[in-house]
Amino acid sequence: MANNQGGMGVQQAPQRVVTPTFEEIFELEFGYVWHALRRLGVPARDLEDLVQHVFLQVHAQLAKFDAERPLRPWLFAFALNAASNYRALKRHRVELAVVPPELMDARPAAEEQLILKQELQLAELALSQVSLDRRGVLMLHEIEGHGMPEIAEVLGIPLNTAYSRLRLARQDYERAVRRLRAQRGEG
Amino acid sequence: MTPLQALKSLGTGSEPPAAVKQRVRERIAGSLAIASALGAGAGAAAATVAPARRVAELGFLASRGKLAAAALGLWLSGAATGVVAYRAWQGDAEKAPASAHVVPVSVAPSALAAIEPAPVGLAPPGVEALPVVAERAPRTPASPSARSAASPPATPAASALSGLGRERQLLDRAREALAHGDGSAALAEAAGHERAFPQGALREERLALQVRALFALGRRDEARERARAFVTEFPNSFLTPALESALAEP
Repeated sequence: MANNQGGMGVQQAPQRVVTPTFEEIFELEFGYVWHALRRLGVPARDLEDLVQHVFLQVHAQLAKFDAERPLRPWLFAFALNAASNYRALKRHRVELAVVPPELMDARPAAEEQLILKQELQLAELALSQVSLDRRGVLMLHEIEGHGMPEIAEVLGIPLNTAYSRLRLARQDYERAVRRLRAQRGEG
Repeated sequence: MTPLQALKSLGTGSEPPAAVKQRVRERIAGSLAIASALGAGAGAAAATVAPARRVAELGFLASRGKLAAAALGLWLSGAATGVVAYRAWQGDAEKAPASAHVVPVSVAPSALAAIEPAPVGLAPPGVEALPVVAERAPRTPASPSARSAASPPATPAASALSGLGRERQLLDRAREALAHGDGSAALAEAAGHERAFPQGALREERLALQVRALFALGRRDEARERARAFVTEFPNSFLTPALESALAEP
């Protein structure tokens, strides 16, 4: 594994010159793709199928990957596309609207920990209520810290559109947080 | 913490369960195997298909640990080009989930390289036993008699499953039979699915499995024919790019 960057949660080196092999991508980025799909609304029971789908596409398209660009946004574009197609299938729609109740639960913990955990759960839940196109931009920029030109490029949209989606996504997200807090009785 | 700060601190998530990763790895290898088999020369079919199947099984078993000689890379690194190069698949030292059913299995690297049948269970000197998580325990009923039965089971538990759950169960059995090198049983299970759910939600998956099973049995022409039909019917399937590139070869 020549390009081992140290596993999950580690940002790709900005100047990658050697194209990673499919095996490396699978080993290092399986979890990344998994969570991207999950946050893009794919329910747990279908995550395996969709992850497989994404990696097969990655395999087929790997020759087109520009090794000088970061890997993760490239992978994310496959995940977003797969999640959009998945959602477009009528039979999947009903369940996507359901919010898993366990997200609102919290196990006993130190108070500070508990609050942090609740905040993060709230963030996940609010994120799930942002429309898919906007959510993709929000995830790439706010969670992963990629620059807007990179995001626009990899999603195949004009830079202005990307900025517009980001602005609307932030609004939607913050509105969802407020709404969820109100539902919890926090005002 | 503001909502936006909370969002920023979510991170990209922790590693999913190792057993899941392993299962997906195996399924990808299986899908790519269709392409490899389709692209191989006609004379080589009989020689490559059976070992490839074995490699899949070994790769699945071996790649969990630190075994360096796992030959799964055969499928993942473009065997369709005709280059048969066994590449080391050095799986990360994943930790098996504590709750998983663990059986001790050891595999000899030399046996992997030579693609000898059934090294599982042998304990050659110098090779430590690797813990291997039993395959698909949660999703597959542990009934050996069910494996060869072509008809769907009529147990209360099975009938309580949703239609999709039933479909998945049948196809999981077919896939498992294939992973064990039993193409006939895989075809029989797939036929069971075809009878019960001719237009089921998982029909696409079944058709792909049937192509794989036919290859495993060396029924190459049938497999190619079905693969072409598959590509025509499902131009947007995740399997189609691999199938198309394979079919394009002479």
